[in-house]
Amino acid sequence: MEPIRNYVNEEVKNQPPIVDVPKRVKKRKKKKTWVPGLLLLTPILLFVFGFFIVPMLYILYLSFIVTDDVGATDAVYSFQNYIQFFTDSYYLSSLWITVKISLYTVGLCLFLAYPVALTMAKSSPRVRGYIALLIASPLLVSIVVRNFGWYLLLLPNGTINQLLIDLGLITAPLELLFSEIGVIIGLSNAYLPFMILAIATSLYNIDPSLEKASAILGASPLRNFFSVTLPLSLPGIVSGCVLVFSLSMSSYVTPALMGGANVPMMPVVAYDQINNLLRWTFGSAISYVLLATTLITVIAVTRGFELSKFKEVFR
Amino acid sequence: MKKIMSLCIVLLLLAMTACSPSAPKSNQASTSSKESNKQITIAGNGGKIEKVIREEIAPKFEAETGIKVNYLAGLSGEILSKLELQKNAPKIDIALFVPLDVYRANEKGLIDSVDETSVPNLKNLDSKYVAFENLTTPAFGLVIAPAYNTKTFEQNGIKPIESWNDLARADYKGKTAFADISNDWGFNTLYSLALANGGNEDNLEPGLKKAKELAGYSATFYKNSTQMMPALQQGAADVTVMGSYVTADLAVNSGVPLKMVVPKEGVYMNAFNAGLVKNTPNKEAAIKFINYLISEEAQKATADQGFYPVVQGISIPEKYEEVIGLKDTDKIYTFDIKKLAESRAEWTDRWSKEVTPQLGTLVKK
Repeated sequence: MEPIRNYVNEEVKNQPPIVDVPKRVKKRKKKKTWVPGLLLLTPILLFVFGFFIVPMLYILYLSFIVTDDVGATDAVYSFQNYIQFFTDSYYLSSLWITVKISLYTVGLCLFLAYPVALTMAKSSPRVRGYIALLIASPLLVSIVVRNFGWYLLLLPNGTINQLLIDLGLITAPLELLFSEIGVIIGLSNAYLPFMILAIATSLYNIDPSLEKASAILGASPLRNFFSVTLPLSLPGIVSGCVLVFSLSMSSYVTPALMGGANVPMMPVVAYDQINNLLRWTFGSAISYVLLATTLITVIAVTRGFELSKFKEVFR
Repeated sequence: MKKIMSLCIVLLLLAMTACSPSAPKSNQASTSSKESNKQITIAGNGGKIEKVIREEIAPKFEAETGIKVNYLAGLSGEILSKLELQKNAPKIDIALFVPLDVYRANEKGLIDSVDETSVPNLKNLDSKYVAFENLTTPAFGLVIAPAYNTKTFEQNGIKPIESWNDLARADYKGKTAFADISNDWGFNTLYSLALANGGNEDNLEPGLKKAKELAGYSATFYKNSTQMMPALQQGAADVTVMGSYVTADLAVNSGVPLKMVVPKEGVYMNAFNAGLVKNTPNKEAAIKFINYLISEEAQKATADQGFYPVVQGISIPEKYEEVIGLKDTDKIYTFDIKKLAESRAEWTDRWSKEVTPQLGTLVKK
C-alpha cells in the first residue's frame, strides 16, 4: 500500500495551500512539535553524553599522547601510537584475526538463525512467543558462566570430544578449545539470539499476499523463497549481521576464556596493554583502530546493500 | 503474544547489560564526610583473599573497631590502573598488590608507606616477605611454584619435577596449565626459567628461549588464571605453575592429587601486599586495618586458607603441610623487583611475539 500513500502525499505537497497561513503561526506550530520531542530525549542525551561521548573523547585524546603516564604534564602529542600499531605485524595480525573470527561468527549465526526465524514467521503467534522465549532464555545466564560451560564441553577430554571418540568418528581429540574454532563457537552461541530476532522481525513484516501472488503466478516454493521471501528479509539479515559483527569485534570475555593466549583478539590485546602494562595511550589507540575498523565495515556493508539491486527493500 | 515479545526484548536488554565487559561490580560505598572513618574500602584479588577478608577478618575487625570493611575484587594490575585514574580522589583506601605492582604503584606516587609507630605489629613481620623498601605491608604469603598431579605422573611413569626446566617436557602431551605472561604467575615463570638457565634480572633472554620450548609443549597459556583450576580438576592439565595457596586449596579442599614442588633452583617467595592509598580520607581507619591484618588472629585465619603466615611464630595448618609445606633445605629467593618492573613491558611484548606463536608446536598427537 506504501506507493499509493506516497503518491497521495506527493499530490498534496505539490498543491498550493488552500488557506494562506501567516508565516508566524507556521513557525510556532513547528516549534511546538519540536520542543516536547527534545525534552523527552533530554535524559538519554545527557546520559549518552556524560557516560559515553565524554569517556570516548577522553580515550581518543589519550591515544595521541606518547607517554604512558596518564595526566603527565609534559605530554607530547603525535600519531606515534597509531604508527606503532600499523608498523608492527603482531598488532596487524591481531586485527586480522579479530575481523576473520567476527566474519566467521556472522556466517555461522546467519546459517543457524535463518531457519529458526523462518519457522517463527510461519508459526502461530502463540508458538512464535514460546520460541522467542526459548531463544532469549540463554541470555539470562551470564556470559562468563556460559563460557565456563563451553570450556568443560570442549576440553580435549571433555564431553564433545569423548562422545565423538566413543562413536568412532574421530580417533584423537579435536582442538576445539584454545583455537579460533572455540572462540567462534562461543561467540556464535552468545550472539545467535540477536541474529534470529533481527531476521524474524523482518520476516513478520512480509505481506503474505505477496507469496500467494507469486504462487498463483506459478512460482515453485523454492523460487518463491529465493525471489520473494529472501530479498524481502534482507533488511533483517543486514541488521542482524551488523549487530553480530560489531558485538563479536568488541567481545573480550569469550576470546579470553575460549581462546587463551592462542587467539589474541583486539579487545584482549587492548585490555592487556591498559591493565597489565598500564600503557593507557597505546591501549586507547588500539581501541580506536578497532572502532574505526568496525564502523567502516558496517557502513560499507549497509551502504552496499542500500545501493544494490535490492535497494527498494531498504526504503 | 505482544506481551511475550516485549518480555523477550526486556530480557534481551537485560542480558546485554550483563554481557558487557565484566567490570568488577563495585560494592564500595561512598564515604560521605560525616561518616568517614566508619568504613573503608579494600581492593584486592577475588577468590581466596576476598573470602578470608570478607568472612573472617572483616567481621572480627568490625566487631573490634566498629569500622565496616567493603571489598572490591579485581586483579592487582586492574586495581593499579583504577588507582591511577582516581589519583586525586581515591575511592579505595587499601590496595592489595603483588610485589611488581607495589613498585609500579610507588613509582606513580599512589601509595604511602606506614611505619611501626602507627602499625605496631610490623615488628613481628618475617623479613622474607617484604616486597620493596618497606613501602607496603606483606599480608598473604605465598610462593609461586610448579605443581603436578601425582596420580597421573605415577600412572604414566613420568619422573617427578625437580627443576624449572622439567616443565618443558613432551611427556605431558600438552596437558599443562601455565598462565600467560600478562599474569603474575606467568611472569614469574619466565623469570624462574631465566634463573634456571643462567639468566638474571638484567637478562631474561635464557628464560625466553626456554619459554619457547615450554610453549611448544603446551596447548595454551591461560589468559585467565581462574580457568587453570577447573583445568586441573577436570584432568585437562597435570602440570602447572601457580600460587601455593591455590595448589593447597585444590589438593586439600577439592581433592585433586596435586603436589607443589620446590625446584632445585628455588622458588620465589612473596606476598600480597597491603598498600595504604595516598590521599585517602580514611587514613586512620585504614592504618588500623593494616595493623589488624598482620595480627596473630588475622594471620591464623589466612594460614587456614592456605597462605603462609607473614609473621613469626605461626605455622601453616597440618592439613596443608604435605602439599605446600616448605622444608628448611628448600631454596627460596626474592628478586630485584625494580629491575623486573621496569623491563616487564619489554619482556611481555617479546613473549607475545616470540613465545606465544610456538604454542602447541611440539605437542605430539
